[in-house]
Amino acid sequence: MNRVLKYAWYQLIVIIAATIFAVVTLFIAAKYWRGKEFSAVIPFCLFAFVHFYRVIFPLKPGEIAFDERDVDIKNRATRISFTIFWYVFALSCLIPILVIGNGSIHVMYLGGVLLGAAILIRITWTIDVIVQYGRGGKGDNS
Amino acid sequence: MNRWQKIAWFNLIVIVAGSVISVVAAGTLPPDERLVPPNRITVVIVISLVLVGIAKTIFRKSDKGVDFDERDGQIHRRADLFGWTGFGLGMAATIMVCYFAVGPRGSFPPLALPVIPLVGVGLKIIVESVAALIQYGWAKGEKS
Repeated sequence: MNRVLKYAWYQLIVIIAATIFAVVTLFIAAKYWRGKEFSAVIPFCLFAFVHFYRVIFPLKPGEIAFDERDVDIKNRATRISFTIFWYVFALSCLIPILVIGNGSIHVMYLGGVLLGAAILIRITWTIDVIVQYGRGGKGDNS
Repeated sequence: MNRWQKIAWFNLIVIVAGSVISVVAAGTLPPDERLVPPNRITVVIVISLVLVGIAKTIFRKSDKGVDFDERDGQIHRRADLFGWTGFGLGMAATIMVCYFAVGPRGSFPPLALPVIPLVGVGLKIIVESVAALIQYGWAKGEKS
């Protein structure tokens, strides 16, 4: 498995773990700690571990970080993840109009949309990279 | 100037002019009518986006010479990535502005929401065009 594919798997696992942890924390906070549901955002700090990949898995001597094919795959994944994000974001801005109409919407809805968008972009990116490499990437060592 | 430079300039001018005209049009409308489509702002936005959409038809491919090569592909891919980055940062900034405008416990009408992705699209086109022009060179001397 090459380094970019390993990074994609690592990112996917960290994001899913942080999301599950945050949902569980939100549930516990809503049930036992009313008024402090905002604390559910704190577990999302685990997302920062996504950027510690190079610290946790440093480049070994002689190991290639990435080549032209890896760059192409990463760029394509970035474009696809932003395109999907745009459609989902546009829908999340149109659906409240249909549901609420002329009412009012809490400002934290936007914060939720932004957080959801950040998670969606990362997850889409990792899935796209994994699909392009072919999941296990057997025999694929850069 | 090659075809892609002309298209980048055209997109940049259309979106910037459309944004300025939208703001001026918003100023001429009463506050209650600004968010209710269809109105002058909607017309300006639709015209701008349609013009950007048909830019490749307005600036047709020439019969002579190569229109698009690997270098152009590389420039477009890089400009596209810059555009999407600008879009993401623009979205975050717009949402933060809304948050600070109404406060943490405030609310706003849902009709204001579609403005955010439209601002994002405009920013994306501006950043993408500027990135393409920086890579090609802003004006003369670039022929495919």
